[in-house]
Amino acid sequence: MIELENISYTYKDNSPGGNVALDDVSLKVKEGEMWGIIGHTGSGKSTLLEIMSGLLRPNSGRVLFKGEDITEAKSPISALKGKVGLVFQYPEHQLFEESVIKDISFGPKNMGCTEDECIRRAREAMRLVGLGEEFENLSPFEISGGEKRRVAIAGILAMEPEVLILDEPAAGLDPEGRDKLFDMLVKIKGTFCKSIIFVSHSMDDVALYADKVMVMNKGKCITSGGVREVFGERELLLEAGLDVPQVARLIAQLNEKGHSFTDAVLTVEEAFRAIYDKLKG
Amino acid sequence: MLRDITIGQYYNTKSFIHSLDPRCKIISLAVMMVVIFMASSLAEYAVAITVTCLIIILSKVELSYILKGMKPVWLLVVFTALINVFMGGGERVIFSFFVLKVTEESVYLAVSMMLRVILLVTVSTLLTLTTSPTVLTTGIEKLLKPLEKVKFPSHEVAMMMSIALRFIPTLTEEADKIIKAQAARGNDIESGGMTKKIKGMIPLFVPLFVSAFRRADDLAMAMECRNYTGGVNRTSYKRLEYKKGDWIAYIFMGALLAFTVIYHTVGFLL
Repeated sequence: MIELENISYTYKDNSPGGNVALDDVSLKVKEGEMWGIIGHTGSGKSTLLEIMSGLLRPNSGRVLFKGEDITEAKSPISALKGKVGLVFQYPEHQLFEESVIKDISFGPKNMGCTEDECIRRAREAMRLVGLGEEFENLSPFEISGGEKRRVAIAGILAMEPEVLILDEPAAGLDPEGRDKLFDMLVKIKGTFCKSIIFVSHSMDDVALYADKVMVMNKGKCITSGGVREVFGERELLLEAGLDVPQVARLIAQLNEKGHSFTDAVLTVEEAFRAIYDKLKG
Repeated sequence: MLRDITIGQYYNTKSFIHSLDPRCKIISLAVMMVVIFMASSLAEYAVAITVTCLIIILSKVELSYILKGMKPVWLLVVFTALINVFMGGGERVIFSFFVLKVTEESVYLAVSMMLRVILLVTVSTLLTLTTSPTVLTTGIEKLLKPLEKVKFPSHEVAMMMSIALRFIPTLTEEADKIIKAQAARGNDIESGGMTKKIKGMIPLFVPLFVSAFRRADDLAMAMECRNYTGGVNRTSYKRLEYKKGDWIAYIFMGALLAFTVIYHTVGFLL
């Protein structure tokens, strides 16, 4: 779906030579994949997302969407025609319309959809994020924080993107809201939306919901691949100021004490199975 | 694009101008403003430009940094110049077109207006570039202190100003983010006609105002939580004291003001 080839990006600011945000980053996202991007604050994750969605043009390197180079286009974001949707961090801060349904229709309206099509898409998006019909005519400023976030995500989904990109979608949500959000993302991936890429600071969320992980450190991609392989390299993650999921840490500590669990334990469920089998066997 | 706004930002370095007392710098800025506004002849403009350049050199602020701060006011500068060129009136017509006529006087007026705006923005930018907001506020508060006798809330005004200055970078950053977020939803403010552009502003302004109010509310709450009650009997961490450099600056500025006033009156008398 999306391919990044040797992307570099430098912010021009007052420091000599500018501020290098990305340095030779490559990534290949296939259809049906759920990618988690992890990295320390300032490691270039957000810049990467903005380049993927066509908001920024990389200084060098190519971005291919379905084999088509969008970096050559006059405006990368128009070249994508809304096929790559980007949900920013705290997306609820961008709501502005007088009613929820109007706000969600903003994206499709900009794409040139007819009034009926806008409403249809907005209703469909609301259904996907689990907002009932009763929300349609409420003001987006009078609903709760979690609902606002869902309205904002619906605003992107209404554009029916084939790739959905989210920057820390669970930031500031309570545990229940977080679980609901990720369950919703898993469900969305089966619809028009074929691939999802999300940034997270929680290794546990990434272990639980992503199939592939990319690890960023200081503007470089230090490793990427399947969740199990990447979380198997704890030293590398520690070096980048990150760590493995808590359960994997627990298993590692048990192994240090002389047990012999396999490294492929990432979730509570898996750990339960492994420990249960060991106690029985 | 919005990251380029440098008004209200502090440029951290050590220089003679940086080390001056804020009160001295504020009064000097006032003097500079008078000098710039009174300037009407070539010689006076030359003096104003020279002094401004001198301040820039003494402040050790990179020229590119100041020029970058000029970017947002370019439009205003060009606009004032154009209006003055065409509407300035005057006798010696260079050429005329329809109701518009360009005269020697109007060209002179346009150039001098342009110079005035550029110089004014430069010197006021220099004040904030060389003075950290906290120091600047203490300076303003001290200068306004005498007005307290007539019930003027000098501390509150100073506090309001410092908060406003403090939030310029925060709000520009926020605006930058909102522009991007709405662009991701297909909001286009770069192309299209004027009406389309103005319409494209609504999705930017509403969230920006909402967030500004939210921030103001949070800040008010945080200040109250720390028992902030205003200026009564408040002491300051940084005590302001005049040093030798300040007196030198005062003497220089006094001389400059005297020169301008005398030159101006003499010019009129001749």
